Amino acid sequence: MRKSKSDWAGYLYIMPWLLGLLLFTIGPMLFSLLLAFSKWDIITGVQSIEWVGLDNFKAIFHDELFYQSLKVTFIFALISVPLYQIVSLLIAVLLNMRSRGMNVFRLIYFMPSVIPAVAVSMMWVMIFNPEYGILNKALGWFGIQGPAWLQDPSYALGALIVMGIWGVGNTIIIYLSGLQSVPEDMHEAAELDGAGRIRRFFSITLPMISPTVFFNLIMGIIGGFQYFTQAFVMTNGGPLNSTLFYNLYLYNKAFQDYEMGYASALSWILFVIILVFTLIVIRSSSMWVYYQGDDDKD
Amino acid sequence: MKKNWKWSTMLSMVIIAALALSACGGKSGDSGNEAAGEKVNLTFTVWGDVNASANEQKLADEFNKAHPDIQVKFEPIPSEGYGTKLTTSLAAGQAPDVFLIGEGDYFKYVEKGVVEPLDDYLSKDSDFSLDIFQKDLIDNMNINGKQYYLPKDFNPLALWYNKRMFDEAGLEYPSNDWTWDQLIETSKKLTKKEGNKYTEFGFNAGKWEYPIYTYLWDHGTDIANEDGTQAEGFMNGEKTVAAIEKYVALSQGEDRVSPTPQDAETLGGDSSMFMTDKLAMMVTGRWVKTDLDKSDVEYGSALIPTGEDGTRTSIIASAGWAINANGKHKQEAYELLKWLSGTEAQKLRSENGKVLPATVTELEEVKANEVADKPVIEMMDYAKKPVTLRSTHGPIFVEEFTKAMEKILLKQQDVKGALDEAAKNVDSKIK
Repeated sequence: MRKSKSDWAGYLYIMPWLLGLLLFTIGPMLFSLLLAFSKWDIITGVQSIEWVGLDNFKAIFHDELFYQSLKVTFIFALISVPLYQIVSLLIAVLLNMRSRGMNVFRLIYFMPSVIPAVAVSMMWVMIFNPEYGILNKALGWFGIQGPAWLQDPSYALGALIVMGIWGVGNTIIIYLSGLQSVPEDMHEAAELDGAGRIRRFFSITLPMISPTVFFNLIMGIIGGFQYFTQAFVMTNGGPLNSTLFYNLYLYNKAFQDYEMGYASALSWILFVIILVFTLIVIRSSSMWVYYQGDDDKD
Repeated sequence: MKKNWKWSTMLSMVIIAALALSACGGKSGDSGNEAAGEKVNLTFTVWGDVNASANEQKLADEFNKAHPDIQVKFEPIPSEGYGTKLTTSLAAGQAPDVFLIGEGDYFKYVEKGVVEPLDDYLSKDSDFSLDIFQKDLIDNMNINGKQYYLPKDFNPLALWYNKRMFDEAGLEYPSNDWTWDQLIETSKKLTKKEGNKYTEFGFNAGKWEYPIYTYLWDHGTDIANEDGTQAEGFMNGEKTVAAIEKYVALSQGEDRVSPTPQDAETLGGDSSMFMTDKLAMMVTGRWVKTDLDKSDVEYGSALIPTGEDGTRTSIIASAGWAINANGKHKQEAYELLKWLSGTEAQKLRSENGKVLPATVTELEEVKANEVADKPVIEMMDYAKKPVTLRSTHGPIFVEEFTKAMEKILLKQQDVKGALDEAAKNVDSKIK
């Protein structure tokens, strides 16, 4: 097919975006791919980049901290992804009810999501403080001696997971919009047939919002594997590497140890891991995601 | 999508930008400088906020007045991002001409080859002599026989005590002939319990390595051999294990006199505890005064105690000015370096007692007038070099030792086991 002039106009229109993509995403990605096979301490400038082939990857697979960070990240993702999805869906269902002042509740649940992660983290450091924190104070009222949440290696990761529930506002909003697109008449018809609330939720609501679940799940997986800010601010990987998330380890390698090549190799491994999990979800989606107007397929 | 690519994106942006800038900017810049009457532009940086570095701005202004052909710009970087910012700007070839390095990193930057040795400049310059500076400081800034840094300021470690807590307990203030055992005995009297909860502590035996080094030295041992090439037999040596066991016991068990590192962290750190009368004594650098003076705590300083055999040691923390080895105008940068570390600069910075002057004459003056700081200044005479100031391998020792201490203090491993493992790791990493 011959390209017409109007094609070029189209490219011209997307030029700013295209340039941005090439310069700030594709370019750096290719550069980091190159670095993954090189040794570079960053301080001495680009001329000192040294090609080392697969050395970085070989070293990574013998690196204890790599496995530790992988373990932390997997535990976090495995628990937090389903947990956050269920919690936010539940809250979204509640927020979808018709009652007075619902907008206020929606605001309340969404609000934490607009606060910068660093500020949120600082606040939670105070909440988790074993001496003065309100969490242990509250536990104290029930006679429970709360642990040193962030200073105890057996609690720190759990504390971060619990804290994350507080920030699921974005997911809630997306679920809420999904819920609102579920046709009312379906519910009414089912109700006439004698279906209860729970039955209706599982047989109507859930299938109808399955594309939303699908989207949130993928975003959740990506976000879970790339967890960084809170751990960086609150625990910096400690105590005893119990919150050494993959991305945090990557950052430390790059900007504390100045091993750019090693860090780039780490980032590509993470990329592959996330890609695999995302693909699994996408492949499995044909079994559980239902698109309206897709009926003739079954 | 966000975080993973953010770092690499930022980094590569910097690099690409640098490549682009150096490629197209290089030529015009060079020709511009050769033109007669053009001013040479220099930048220099320190960590900290603008308010805290008002003196540096003043020095820059005065330098500009005194050197009509050089234009100096002062660009401080916030403390938290200092290392990262400096490193990326060095990588991009956009680093300041003169920058400040802390004593823990002296070796690292020299090893990377980004710091210009000063010996040639100094030997050609008959008006300026290193003799004006404290010898210990100059020694610390001399790496492998070459002078790489000139001092900005310095902070010796000393023992700081909370007068109110001593008065309340009816105890004498720490005396200068104390041994560590006497300090611990006194700490026991200052440690208070309500029910089974400790409310006040006598001493802080934390995980920061500098006070631990002095404690080890005073007990006749160290985590590394003299030239910092071996850990086996030092980090896990008999004396070290015994000393660390004693040290750790200070924050554990029935007779504890110190908060655990966890306690200290949750209570806001040693200086916060000290200011709120929850901690009676701590070993730390003189910089702590800035915080202490903001509160109404009544404090004094004393010599760090000695070991059984009378050994007394300290560490001098310092900040040194360095010239960017890849800078375009190194001779001018040298002039600036002298200006920033010389007598006038030292006088200006020490005017209100905020920092101690790094020059001999000025320090003598301070010594003559100062009472509160006398022990701090005296601690300089006992200064020893921590492993980071003796060897390029310093960071490896520190990393493994810190890791071992963390395990020990969190009771995940016994002292001997953790230190054995750490020593093995260090030695295998060095080879």
